[in-house]
Amino acid sequence: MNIFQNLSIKNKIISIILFVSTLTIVIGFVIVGIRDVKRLKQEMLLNNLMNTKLIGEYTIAPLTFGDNAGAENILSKLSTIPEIVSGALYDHNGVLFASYKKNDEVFIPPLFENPDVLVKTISQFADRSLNIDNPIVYENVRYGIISIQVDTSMLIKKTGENILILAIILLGMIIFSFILANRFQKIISEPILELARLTRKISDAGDYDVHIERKTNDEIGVLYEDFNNMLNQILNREAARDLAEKNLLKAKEKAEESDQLKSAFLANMSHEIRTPMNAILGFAELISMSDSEVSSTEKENYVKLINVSGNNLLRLIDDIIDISKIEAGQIKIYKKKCYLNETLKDIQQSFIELRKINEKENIEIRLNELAQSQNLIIKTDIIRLNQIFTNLIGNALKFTEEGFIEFGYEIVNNEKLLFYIKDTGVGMDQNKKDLVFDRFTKIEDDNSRLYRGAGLGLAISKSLVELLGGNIWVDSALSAGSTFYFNIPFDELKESNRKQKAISISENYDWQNKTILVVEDEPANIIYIEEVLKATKAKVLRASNGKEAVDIYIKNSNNIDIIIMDIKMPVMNGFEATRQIKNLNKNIPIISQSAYAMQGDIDKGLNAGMTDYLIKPIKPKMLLSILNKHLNNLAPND
Amino acid sequence: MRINILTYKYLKSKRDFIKRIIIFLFLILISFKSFSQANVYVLKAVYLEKISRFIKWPEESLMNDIDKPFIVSVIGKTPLAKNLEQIYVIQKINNKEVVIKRISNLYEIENSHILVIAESEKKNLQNILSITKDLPVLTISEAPDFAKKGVLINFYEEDNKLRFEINETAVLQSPLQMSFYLLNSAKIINPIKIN
Repeated sequence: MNIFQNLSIKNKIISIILFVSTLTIVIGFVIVGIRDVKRLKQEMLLNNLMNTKLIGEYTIAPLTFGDNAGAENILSKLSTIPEIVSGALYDHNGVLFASYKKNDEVFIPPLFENPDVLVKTISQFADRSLNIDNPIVYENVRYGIISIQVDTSMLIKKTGENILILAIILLGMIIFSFILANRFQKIISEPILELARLTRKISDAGDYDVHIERKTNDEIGVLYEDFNNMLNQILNREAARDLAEKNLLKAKEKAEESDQLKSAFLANMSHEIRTPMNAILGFAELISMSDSEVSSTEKENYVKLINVSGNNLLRLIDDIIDISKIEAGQIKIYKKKCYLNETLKDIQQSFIELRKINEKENIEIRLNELAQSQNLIIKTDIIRLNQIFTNLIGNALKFTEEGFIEFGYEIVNNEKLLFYIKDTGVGMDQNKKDLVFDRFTKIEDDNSRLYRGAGLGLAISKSLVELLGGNIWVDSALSAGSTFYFNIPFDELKESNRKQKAISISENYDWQNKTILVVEDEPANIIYIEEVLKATKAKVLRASNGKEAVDIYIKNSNNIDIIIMDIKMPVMNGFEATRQIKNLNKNIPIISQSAYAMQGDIDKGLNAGMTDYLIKPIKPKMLLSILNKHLNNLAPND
Repeated sequence: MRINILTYKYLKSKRDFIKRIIIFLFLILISFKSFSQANVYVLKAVYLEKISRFIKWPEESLMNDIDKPFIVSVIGKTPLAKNLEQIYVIQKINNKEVVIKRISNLYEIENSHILVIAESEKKNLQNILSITKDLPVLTISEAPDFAKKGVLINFYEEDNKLRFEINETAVLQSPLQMSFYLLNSAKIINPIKIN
């Protein structure tokens, strides 16, 4: 069996066919041979019986008339049958009457005992001979006995010859079946070998983009088809893998690039943070000097510079928070009703204020006609829109030395609302137009750090515009100013009978008999708010965390008119404190303080029961306006 | 086995056995190759019975009726007649008693089964044969040329041995039927011509 298993398929098929056919032929031949021998024997017996009987009958007359010579003559005819060795004729008394011996040899036939007993033919095969004793009877009269001896070596010889012939035929048939098997085994082995060759080729060359042609409809055909399917699957998988690999490579490159950018950004950042920090610390030290060394006007100037640097630092940190939120996909858009024109006017107002700080009072900040005259209400995320404008206008202010900054909107069609911010600043090269929106890209090279900033503003703006569902682009030429455009979906809300509320923007509030609770864990912020509120003569209570705020409120519940609540505080946060206070008095207005990026917190606060919110950094005007709104119960009932 | 059967047979019919021994001895006597002149007629007489074994008589000859005798007629003078009378006292032909008739007239031929024609009837032969031609009578003679002339069986001597010749054409024309075995052992005269 082991030898068989080591054979090739071709040889296996051939040997199986040969084995089966040889076995069949041999079995057939053995059966035929045995039958043949039997038949030969039978034939011999019958032939000789017939001969014996015939000869016997011929001898009836000679026996009758005692014609020995005639009998001898008849017996001598036995010589024509070469296999008969001898013959003897006895009369009815058992006395030898005539005899025959092949080749005229001397023959002494045996005596025949008891001839009476022999009433029928007796034939028996002895060693190498067949003996036939036949009674000669005619008309019920017994005339004698004829006894014949036949040499069976002829039979053996003949059988041997037959066997030899059969063996030769067998050999011929085996050779013939070998030739046929060798030819027809290809029908089975060839497709398998072809498959094997192809598989070898594939494994050697690693090329799966091949195909094996199906030729038959049997199992091998099915195997071919399955093989082709498998190859296709491998190909598809390879293609998918290649694609994934490509994507991964791309992602890796991007990650590396991003990593590089981040490193550069960090380096930048530390510098950016250090610069205003140095200024703040430096000027703070100068201020702490005695009046003799630094004049009070100089000190006032230093305070201003500290303020500017602090603002820069704050903006920088806000930007960093924003960009990381955007990158982490954590920025969510909360669309709500927006009185667009009021919002834009507020922005204009705040930048008019801001340019003073940047010492760019010569630059005119205009709002376009449409924005001033129309009264458009849209649904969008006010905070994000505000942020975009703040960034873009801030940017424009930064790069403009003289001239104007104009911003506003145009209604392009029913679907898009186009905003623009136009300046008369330095402008930029054509090839930088797309780059400016990339993160960490700044308009100036490293050698001339003319314009401060981390290079995040435009990237943030781009991301926010896209989050709102629009596009941003810039139209600019070097030294010819720039115009930034962005659009957002125009989702107009109709409000026919909106009350025109004239909010008096009086700079002078008088809240002499009002009590304001400021909940803030950062002492500097409390001092800032107290400073702002000093002019209103309002009474200010302090709490450094939520727990303290609740306690104070319980003590002075009737006196406190409004609460300004920070969110993140130790012991108890703003949400919990708000809930508890609101449980005590649901009418008490509570204003939360929150950063730009904490829209989620604002909503959470409003859900907790907060009445309104202030966005950090808190501008004095904004603080006063909001407090005024709620102290005079002017809040619109949305 | 053979001995048992033999013993059984022996006990069964002792008489039969004795009879057999007599026949046996008798036959040994006639089986000798050479014989004396005196014996030749005995032999001829014995041959008559033996030849009869190979002849079939037609129905009219009443061969099946054992009570009717088997008639052997002898015409003419021959010593054979005496020998026949001696031998066929006991011997039967075809299980029938044998009656030997010496005849001289031609009309006596009818009803005979065998007609022995002596050489003395040479001149009268044609007449005899004209009668026997259509009768179921086996004609036997013992003279040269008798067979050629139309006698069915004719004895002759050769090498000191009794032999007989058969006129095959005459046998064919006779109502008798003759076995091939008899022809086989005889000399054939006037063989049948097959055209």
